[in-house]
Amino acid sequence: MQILRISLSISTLGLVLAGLLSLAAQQQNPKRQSNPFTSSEDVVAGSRIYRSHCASCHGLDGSGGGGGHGGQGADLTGQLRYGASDEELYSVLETGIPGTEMVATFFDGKQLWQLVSFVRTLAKAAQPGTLVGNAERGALLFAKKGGCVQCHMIGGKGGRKAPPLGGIGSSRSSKSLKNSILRPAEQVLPSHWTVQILTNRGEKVSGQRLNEDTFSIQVLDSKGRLRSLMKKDLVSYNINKKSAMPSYEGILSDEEIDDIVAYLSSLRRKRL
Amino acid sequence: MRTLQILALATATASGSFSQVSTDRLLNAENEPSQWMTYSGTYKSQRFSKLDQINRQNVTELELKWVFQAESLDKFQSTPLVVDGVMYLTEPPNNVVAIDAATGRRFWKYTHNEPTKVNVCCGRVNRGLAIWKNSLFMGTVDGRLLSLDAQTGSVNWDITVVDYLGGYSITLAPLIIKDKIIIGTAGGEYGIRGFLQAHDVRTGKKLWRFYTIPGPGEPGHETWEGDSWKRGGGSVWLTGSYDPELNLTYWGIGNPSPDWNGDVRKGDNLYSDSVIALNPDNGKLDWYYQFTPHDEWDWDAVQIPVLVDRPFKGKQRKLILWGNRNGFYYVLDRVTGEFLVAKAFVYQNWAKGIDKKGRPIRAPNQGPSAEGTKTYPSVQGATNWYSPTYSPQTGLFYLSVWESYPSTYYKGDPTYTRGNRYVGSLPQGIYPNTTTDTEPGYGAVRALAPETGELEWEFKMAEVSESGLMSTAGNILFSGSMQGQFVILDVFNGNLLWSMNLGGRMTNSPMTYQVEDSQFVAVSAGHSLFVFGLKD
Ligand code: HEC
Ligand code: HEC
Repeated sequence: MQILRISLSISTLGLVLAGLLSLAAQQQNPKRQSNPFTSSEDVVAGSRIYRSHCASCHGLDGSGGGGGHGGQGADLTGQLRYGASDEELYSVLETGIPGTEMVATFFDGKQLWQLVSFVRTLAKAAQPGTLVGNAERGALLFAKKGGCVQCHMIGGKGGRKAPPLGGIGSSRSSKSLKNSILRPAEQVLPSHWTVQILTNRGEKVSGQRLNEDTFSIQVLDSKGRLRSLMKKDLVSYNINKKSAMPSYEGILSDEEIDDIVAYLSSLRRKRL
Repeated sequence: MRTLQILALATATASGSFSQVSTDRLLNAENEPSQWMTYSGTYKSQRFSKLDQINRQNVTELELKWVFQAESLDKFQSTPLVVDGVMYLTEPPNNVVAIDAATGRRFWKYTHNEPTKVNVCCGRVNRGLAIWKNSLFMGTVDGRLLSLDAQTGSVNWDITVVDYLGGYSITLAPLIIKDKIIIGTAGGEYGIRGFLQAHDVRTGKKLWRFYTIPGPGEPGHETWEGDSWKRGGGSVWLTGSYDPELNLTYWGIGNPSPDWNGDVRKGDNLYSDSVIALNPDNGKLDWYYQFTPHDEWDWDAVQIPVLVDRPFKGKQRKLILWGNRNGFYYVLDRVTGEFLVAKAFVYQNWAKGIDKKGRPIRAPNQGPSAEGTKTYPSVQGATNWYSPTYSPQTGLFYLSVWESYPSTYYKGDPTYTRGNRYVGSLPQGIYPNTTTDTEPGYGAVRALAPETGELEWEFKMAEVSESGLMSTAGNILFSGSMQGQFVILDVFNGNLLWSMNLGGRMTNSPMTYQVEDSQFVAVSAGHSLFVFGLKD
């Protein structure tokens, strides 16, 4: 009982202190200055917040692109889009990126700076090889030698046999992009599964399975038409979770793959 | 019977086809009533559909087919497009979804990333998309124009049209004419200099710009005192119409800035509160007609230009019918812009009438004043942007009106700071408060005789309405109310045929389409789109 009371008062004290600190920080307008919370304790404090509030989207190691509650966070291990200065990073963490899954937070000034400190270590921790490629060369490989453009569309140009890749750099890490190119079979998004359908009327439909519920299934068919079919009108429908994407392992050199990854990573949603 | 119907529905959902909207299809939209390919349905903007499966005899058999719920709390002013069984819709303000028009199931969604701060006078709204070939086009509240792939929702291109920090935003649905996308900018409350401009449908490249406020050396510039033209307003926030035979496109232009203090912008203030006719190939002005010279009440001429070919005083003519926010109904010749008729369609006290040349004769002392002036109609106008409709079957013009509702107009400080409101004070009471207003006025759907503006019938509502109208070959007319009552009226006499409480403010204009054998009608209320069809 006694112990409890003590710990309570200590935590209350802590709260008050934190409040005072943040007040002080606010008065100094912390955004205007460089990060005042960069000690190793601050990094640890930042990592704790990160684990519980950010990792579900950005991954424990910050490489983004997967896991978590359907959220797909950006890669934080490479070059940051909003990372030109600590102040910029701070304001992204505070206000979020409107219109994306990156939401605003309610952490106080100190906590935000600690997060900034931690996010900076993610980039340092990144394995060598992250974004070593040359995006310009990558763009060329994508269009020419790699033949990617025959299947994938970017910015209105390209084929329709595969999902468009415009903006993919905002949601996929360089690691997972590389994986998609080398080992496409490993992870296929459910909206990229394909489906073969036979209807009651004897029509065969195949294509990308965009959406599905108990009663119906939505498909972008092989002719490029958007179609919604009622399941009760189908003789059969078979979902194929395999990737129709060829592996480029051994077909393109490591350097070429890195270049393409750098190119895809640079395909970000328009910055505001 | 029931199985049969179900089968019909099944085929309906199974046969949405590849969306290829050619220029020809847009030109002949009238003859493809199953589709809804432009904001107003056709280039004539009559918001009339030839579909008649749902009609006067069977409207009571309507039932709700599906609902689309927006994941957003902004006002839902968008008119959907439907092409070959696929509905394309903006979710307020600038997300885009493609859904199965028969079942409402989603194919894809484009999520717009948008700044937290935008300069919009009246909500972060969007009124819809345009489609051409396999591309969708959308203007955004942050001043961008996007082209999306209709099959996947992926971005073809995304360009900045105008700097939103200066008070500009794009809220209208673009209009496609031949190989051009025509858009304009909102911002009449922010001291913008309005314009209409054209972009290449394929690349987005800007092709021409027409300033709605003429600059030095241009005709009309003399209607602005001093430098006032630089911040003269003249926004464009509602889709225009097009006459392919004349190759003219017609647009209604917004209020002059600052709205309620005309002292700093003496003169007629062209082309604010006007209809302009442009050549879409080069953006050159062919003619204009100004409804409210030197407006001091915020009466944008932002209404749908309704193009009608019909006899006028015994002679077949190409007309524009226009129920204006200022309370007058107008008939113009759309070949020359000649003024033909004007008649007040609500009680108003700002003008003694309109003279033979089409110029209003202003009543004295009805402009804004420091102590406030009570003037009819209100700041929201006698009608506003929500669509009127013209039925070729009845030959009547229908519109949503606000009757006997005044505003008290105050004149105030007209200081301009970039990106902030520049209105010169604010009138009281934008919407009537039915619990405190002693003069709340009322809303009504009215049918006017197109040649004279005489009232043919009215359907009176307890409250004013922001819902547009649509009429169909089924001889019915669709509308709704602020409180969410969706109503269907008889086009001949305004009798109520059917109604349903949709539980939220109706702020778009109804539209209709057909998938296989079934006609559907879509309206928004609150934050959802409700789609109706006949019972199976
Ligand atoms: C629900 C998923 C989600 C959560 C939770 C989330 N993020 Fe994000 N984050 C994203 C997405 C998605 C983006 C990319 C947005 C875009 O498209 O621009 C992003 C972007 C970022 C960026 C910008 C990257 C750049 O290139 O500059 C940073 C930094 C960031 N997040 C850090 C964090 C931190 C720290 C947290 C925890 C406080 C967090 N995020 C929580 C999804 C999330
Ligand atoms: C024969 C057609 C084809 C070619 C060629 C092709 N892809 Fe793919 N790709 C696909 C398909 C189909 C998918 C969807 C299934 C999947 O995710 O594996 C896909 C998926 C992807 C993904 C994952 C997308 C996501 O959102 O998860 C990436 C990244 C990708 N491809 C990159 C490339 C690159 C880079 C090239 C050229 C070096 C390329 N593709 C060449 C068909 C192709």
